[in-house]
Amino acid sequence: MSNKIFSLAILMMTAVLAHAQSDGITQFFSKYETDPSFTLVSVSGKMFTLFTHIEGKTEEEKEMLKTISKLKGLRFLVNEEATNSKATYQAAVKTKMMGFELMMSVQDAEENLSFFIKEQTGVVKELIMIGESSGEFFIMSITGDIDLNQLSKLARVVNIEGMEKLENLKK
Amino acid sequence: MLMDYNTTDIKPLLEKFWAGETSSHEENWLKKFFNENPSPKGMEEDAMYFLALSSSCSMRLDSSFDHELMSRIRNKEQRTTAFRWTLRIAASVIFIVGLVTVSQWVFKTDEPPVQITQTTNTTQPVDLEVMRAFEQTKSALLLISSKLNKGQEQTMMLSKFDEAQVRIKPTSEQ
Repeated sequence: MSNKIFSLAILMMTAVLAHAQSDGITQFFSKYETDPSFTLVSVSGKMFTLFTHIEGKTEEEKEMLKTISKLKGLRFLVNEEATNSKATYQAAVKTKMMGFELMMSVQDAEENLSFFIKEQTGVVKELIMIGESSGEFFIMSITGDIDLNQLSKLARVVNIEGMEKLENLKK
Repeated sequence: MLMDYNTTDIKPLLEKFWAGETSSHEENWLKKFFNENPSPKGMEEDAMYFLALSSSCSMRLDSSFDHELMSRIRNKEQRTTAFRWTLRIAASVIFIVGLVTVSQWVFKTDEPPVQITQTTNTTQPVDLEVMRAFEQTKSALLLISSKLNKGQEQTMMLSKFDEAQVRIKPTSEQ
């Protein structure tokens, strides 16, 4: 009997350890969220449900609400004056993220970008974007049922290049 | 039994004994003889051997042996029982800690509560807070969207390569 309990306990501890490992990126967020040079935006699932009461007037807003309706959470951490953005980027990319796969990585003279996704039964459940560009570092995590096609459609509808939108986050 | 042999027979019988040819009856007779005659002339060494043999045969375990053996077994059992109890308690502690942690993990909310680091005026209407969060979410999603598109543009060449492969296959099969 004690052997069975012991085996069960070991199994549970293994599960707990695996969970602890999967939270590597959470630890990364925790590490920098108290850093005054970083700005953190965190939107909960509850807030996402409140977004459903918003009425989309423009095409942009309708597409946005369509994307948002299936999301459950968003966290965004940005440092616009990172002393060593490349090193922070490398550290973030190397963080252990159990269950995540590197979806895409872009490296050019302007910036470095990496996208990691966590899939469950063929549905993307979490997307993490880590990026660095001319002294700026940012990391973003979105959770829920993520339609990558719908997500990439957003920027095409609005026709933006992206980085200027960081300004809105500061306001 | 001793009467079966004469003392004059003792030497031939001893020779037979050392040659390993005596029967158990004869060996018993020899033992008895040397017990009764501890030091016969010319046979002192033989007598010593048989006396030692007799004394070792007469050695018996006393009652304290059983008592000591049983107490040692009981001590070992007690130690084993104590170890098992320690193991059970350790397993139970790990089980409870695991159960609490797993339950926290299972029942926790997906995300931390709303936390917008920018200073907000709590007296503002809730709708305004929601709209502010919406604007920030919108900006964040547009950023991720534009970056996704940038990455997709980079991989466009790869998809073109795939298309070319698909077109080449039917041609090569023909």
